[in-house]
Amino acid sequence: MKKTLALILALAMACTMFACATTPAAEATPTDAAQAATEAPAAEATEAPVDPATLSGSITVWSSGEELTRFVEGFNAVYPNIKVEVTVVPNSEFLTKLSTAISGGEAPDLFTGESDYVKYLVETPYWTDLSQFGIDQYKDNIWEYVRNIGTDSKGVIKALSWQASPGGIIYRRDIAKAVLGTDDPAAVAEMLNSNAKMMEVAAKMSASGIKMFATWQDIMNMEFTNRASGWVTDGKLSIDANLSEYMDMAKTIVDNGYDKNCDPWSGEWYAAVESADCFCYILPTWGYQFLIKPSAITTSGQWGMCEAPVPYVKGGTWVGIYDGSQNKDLAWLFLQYCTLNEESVKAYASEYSEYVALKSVDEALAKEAGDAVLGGQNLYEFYNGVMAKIPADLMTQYDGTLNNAFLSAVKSYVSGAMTKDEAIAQFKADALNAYPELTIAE
Amino acid sequence: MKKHSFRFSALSVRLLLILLTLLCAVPFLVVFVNSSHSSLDIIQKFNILPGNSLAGNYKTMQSLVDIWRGFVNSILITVPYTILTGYFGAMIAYGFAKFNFRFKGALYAIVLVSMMIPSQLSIIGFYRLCLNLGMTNSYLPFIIPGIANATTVFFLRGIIEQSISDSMIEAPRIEGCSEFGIFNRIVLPCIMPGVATMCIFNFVASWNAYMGPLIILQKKELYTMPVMISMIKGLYVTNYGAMYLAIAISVIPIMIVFAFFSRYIIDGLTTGSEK
Repeated sequence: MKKTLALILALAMACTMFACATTPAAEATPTDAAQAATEAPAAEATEAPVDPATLSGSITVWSSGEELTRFVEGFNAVYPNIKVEVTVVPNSEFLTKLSTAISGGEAPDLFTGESDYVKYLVETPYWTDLSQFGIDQYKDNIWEYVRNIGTDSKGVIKALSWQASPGGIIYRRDIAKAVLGTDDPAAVAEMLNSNAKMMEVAAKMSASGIKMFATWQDIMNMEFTNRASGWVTDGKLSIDANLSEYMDMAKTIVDNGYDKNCDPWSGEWYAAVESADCFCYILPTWGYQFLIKPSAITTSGQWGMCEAPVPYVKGGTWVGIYDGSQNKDLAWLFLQYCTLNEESVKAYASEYSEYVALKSVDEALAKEAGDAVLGGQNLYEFYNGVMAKIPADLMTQYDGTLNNAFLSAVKSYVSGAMTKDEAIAQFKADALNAYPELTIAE
Repeated sequence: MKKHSFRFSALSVRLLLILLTLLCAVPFLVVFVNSSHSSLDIIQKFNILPGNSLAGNYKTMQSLVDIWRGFVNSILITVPYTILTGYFGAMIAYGFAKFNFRFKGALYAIVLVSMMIPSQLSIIGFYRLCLNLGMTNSYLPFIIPGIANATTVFFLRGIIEQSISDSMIEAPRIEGCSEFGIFNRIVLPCIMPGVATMCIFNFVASWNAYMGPLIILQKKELYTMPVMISMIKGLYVTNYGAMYLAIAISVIPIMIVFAFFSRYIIDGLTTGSEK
């Protein structure tokens, strides 16, 4: 019996020792980081073209998507001694993990902010002011809306993005030719240049046994830009008249069977790319990059892009430097490499067909050969045209929650579970529930 | 005639059971089959037969996360946690069931109340506690709480009260066995089926724990299986094939644990020594 007792005691002691042993190890890390930080500015202070190989240290990056990991290899080719560790944190838990880490002083040097909550992050003191690194010299080359979203209400630029996400209609050329008589983007855009006209074409498609849209939910990407103001102005929540019109349109689409009525990112949504009876997706750049391009195999070359009734932007991920970071200078080098360095951004854009935030790169790529999946159409040329017409951004820090609440209200209306008034009342109640400080504008 | 109808009903019961087995097995089958298909295949059709993208999925998965590292991490947390919950849970339950002491009712009420607080509520406080103890990048925050698992205590207390009579404890006490010995040599073996049942539940709960490890662990190489699986799923790119493969790998230990311990659940129906 004494043996067992002794064993338990010994185990308990071992556990305590292990617990204690981890503490000094954890303390050692910040000191290392501090040392690295003091070395870095010293190297930069010389101002003369520094040999990038002399810069050393390590930076940590938290990203809600995988795109930033694609830059690391190229970055290390230039700066071989700066170790970049990118951790992909699932988007749904990103803010929870980030805020606990910041409250505990363990935040990464760089972290991303997805479009749903980037406006919230920009207004917090978490991201540092980028003017200390001379962001002004790059300013004019960044698309205005990308820059504006990364700028807080006092005019301080805090976050940048490597991407810009304007949108249009991505449609099937073969179906357009068969039903509409033409597949020319300008002619198709002309036929679809208002919500009412889209419904007319949808009826025509329906008569030929073709579904106009994959899902009515995609159209929401566009309708959020098609507003007079964002969700909240001066603490007042308002539902734009166009959104009310959109609710009716969604109902018409579902009632008449103009779409496949699937959820975005679901299996059917992906499968509709290769189906014979789905005409178009209303999606921004990422819709082409992540949905159409990888899925279109037999339909490659059959796709085209044309302007939507309203030029719009939706989505995107921004990235900024943590204000409490010990490695701000090294972090800036990585941020600059991913978002401002024309050479690296161009290489990235042409490899992944992503539309980027640097005007000069988009303009250069617009002159190159078009995309095979799009039947030779150049997506940069197309999106440059859209960007020229983009109105001011309507993003607010409430967007993530309110967009979802609105979507679920429209879903209830469309499925017939609620009347339109009930759905709107539900949305307002949900909004006030999430943000009690708001008032409803009449 | 009678014989015939008996056979018929046995057959129909079997058919029903086979149908139920299929219903339970098909989701697992789908996971294993899909792990060998490309993401596009998984999206576009329902697969029954294995595909040929296993190697590709494995490559994608390993390029995003080191799944075997996650596997080892999960085992390092789950196994000690499960053993602690079983042993200490039984010990505390024994104390509550067979000893009388002051504030017993109040203490037991605290145990019950702690079962009712969702762990999501206390996650921030838990994080601060771990941070102040210097345990944010360690497995201890997930292992040590195993010595105070309220559900196990609640469940085993009932079993001990039912299946261990006072005379079974008094006999060795008269013979001079120590209290600790009584627990280890008499009580614990008698309630082993109950302990094993709780161990299965605790093993599965710990193996699937997601929020805790995600918040507390900051270093990528310490992440457990569920966190790694969610890292495979990107923001825009959905690597279904790689995800299915990772899920298939993470399901295997649970199946093994179930295969070895499930007979204890059946034995549990006849727990105790006095028949």
